[in-house]
Amino acid sequence: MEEKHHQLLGLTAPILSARVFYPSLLEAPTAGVLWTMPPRFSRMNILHKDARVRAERIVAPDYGEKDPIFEVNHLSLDYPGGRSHPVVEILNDVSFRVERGHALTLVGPSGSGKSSLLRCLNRLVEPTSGTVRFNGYDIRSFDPRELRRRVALVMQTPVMFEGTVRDNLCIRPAGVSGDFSENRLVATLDEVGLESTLVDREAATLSGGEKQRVTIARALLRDPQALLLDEPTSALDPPNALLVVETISRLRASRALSIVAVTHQPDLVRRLGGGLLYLRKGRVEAFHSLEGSDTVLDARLQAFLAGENIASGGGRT
Amino acid sequence: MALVLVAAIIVVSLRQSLGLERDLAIGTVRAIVQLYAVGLILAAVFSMARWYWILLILGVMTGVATQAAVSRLGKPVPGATWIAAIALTVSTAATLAYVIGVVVQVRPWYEPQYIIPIAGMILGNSMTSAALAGDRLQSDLRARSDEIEARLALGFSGREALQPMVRASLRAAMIPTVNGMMTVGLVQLPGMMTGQILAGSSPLVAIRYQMVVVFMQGAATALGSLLFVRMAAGRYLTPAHQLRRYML
Repeated sequence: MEEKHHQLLGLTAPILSARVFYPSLLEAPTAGVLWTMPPRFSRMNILHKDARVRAERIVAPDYGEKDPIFEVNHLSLDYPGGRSHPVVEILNDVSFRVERGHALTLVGPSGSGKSSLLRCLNRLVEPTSGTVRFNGYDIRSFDPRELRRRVALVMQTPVMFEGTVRDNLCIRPAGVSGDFSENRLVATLDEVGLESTLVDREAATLSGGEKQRVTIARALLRDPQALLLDEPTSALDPPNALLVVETISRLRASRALSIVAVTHQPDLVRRLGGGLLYLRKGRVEAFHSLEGSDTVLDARLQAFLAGENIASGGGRT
Repeated sequence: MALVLVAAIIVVSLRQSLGLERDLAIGTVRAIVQLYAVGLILAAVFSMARWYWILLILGVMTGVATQAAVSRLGKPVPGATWIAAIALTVSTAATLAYVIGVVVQVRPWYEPQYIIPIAGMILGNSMTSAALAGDRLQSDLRARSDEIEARLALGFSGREALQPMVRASLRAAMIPTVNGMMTVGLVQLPGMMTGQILAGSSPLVAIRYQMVVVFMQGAATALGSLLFVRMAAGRYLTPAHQLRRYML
C-alpha cells in the first residue's frame, strides 16, 4: 500500500513545482532504499520485515538518491475551534518538493503560515490533512524525536539553556549518543565562525548573533540532513545578521545541507539559491526558481528580491 | 458583637474611598449565612453519623473544591475538571486515610467530628496548591514556549521538554506551605490551635494536633499539586511529542 501511494505522488504533485524540482516526472521515486532505515522505526519494520539494519547506518547520506529530501503534498492545517472561537485555517492545500542538497525559501506576509509550514516538516506541528515525506518516507513513519535530530530547526530567537556554551552544545535527551568530544565542539564552533574560547562562557552572556550561531552549531552536532530556518536573522542587528547569513550559506555549500528557510532577508535568499515560494493566507500563490532563468518572475517576488519588504512587521506566523 | 469590627472596616473603606463597602457588606452577610448553614448541616450530620452520609458530604466538598481549583485557570484546559477531580480525590483520600487510620486512629473512621474538619483542611490545601500550580504552569508554558519548542526540536520527548516548567510550578505551589512550616507558631498561632486553646484545651495537647495538621497539609499540598500538574501538562502534548500551541 505504501508503495502504491508512493508512485501516485509524481502525478498528484503540482505541475509547477514538479517541473522545477523534478525535471522528469518519469523518474518519480520508487520504493527507495529501505535498508537505510534503522529497526527502531517500527512502522517500516512492519512493512519490510526482512530489512533489518543497525541504527548508525541512517547517518550515512546515501538514501534513495532520487527521493527528494522533502515532498509536501496537499498539506492543510487548521487550528481547532472551541466554544468561543471558530476553526482557524492556517495552511490550505500546500504542495512542493525540495531536492536533496537544495534550498527553498518561504516568503509572504505575516500570518501567512510560513512558520507553521516549516514546523510541519519536522513534525512539531501536525497537519490536519496531507502528507510530508522525508527522503521518500512519510514522516509519520519515523519516531518524531529521531526525525527532529535529522531535520534541525533554527528559530527566530535563539534559545539558550542555562549553563555554558558547552552545556548548550551538548544538551541532549538521556540515552542519545553522538560525538560530543572537545575536538568536535571546537571544530563545529569554528564552522559557524565562533572562537573555541567561547566554549566555557556562560551562554546568557553571548551577543544575539553569537547565540544564533551557537544554536546553529548545536544543530550541526546532531548531523542533520536538513536545516529548517525560521527567520534566523530577523532578531539580529545588520552586522550580526550578515554574519549569520554568511555562516548559513557557507554551511550549505560545505555540508551539502538541504535547507528550508523562512526569511525576510533578500540577501539570504540570493545566497541560498534554490526555490522561492510565496505564501499568502496559507496558500501557495507563486513559485520561482532562482536557478533556472526561464520562469517568469512574479511581481511580488521580484519586489522581494529587489530588497523590498513583503512583510513589514516581524510578527510570527 | 463582632460586627462592630466590620463597621470599623467599613468606616476605613469610606474614609479612604477604597470602594469596598458594598463587597464588605455582601461578604459579611455571606460569611454569617454560610457559617450558619454549615453549622446546621454539621450538627445534623454529627447527630446521624452514617458512613454514606459522610461520603456524600465529602463528595460535595470535593466537587466544590474542584470547581474552585479549575476556575483559577486563565485559559480553559479540556478535561481540566476531571483532572482536578482526580487529583483532589486521590490526594485527599490518601492523606485522609493515613491521618484517620494511622495517626489519629479514629474509630469508627467515619466519626464526623474528626473526618469532616480534617478532610476540609486537607482538601483546602490540595485545592489551593493545585490551583497555584496550574496557574503557574499555564503562564510558564506560554512564556517559555520557545524553550519547549527548542527542546522538542533537539529530539527531547514531550515530557522531557515540559519538565522544567512542571518543576517550576510545583515549587511555586509548595513554597507557601514550606514557608508556613518554617514560621509556624512563631509569627501567628495557626487557626485550629487558636481555636482549641480558646475552647479550653491545654496548649500541649493543641500543639500535638497542630503538628499532625502541618505535616498533613504538607502532604496534601505536594500530592495535590503533583497529580494535577502532571496530568494537566500531559494535556498540552500529543503522542507525537508536539506542543499544542493553540491551547496556550
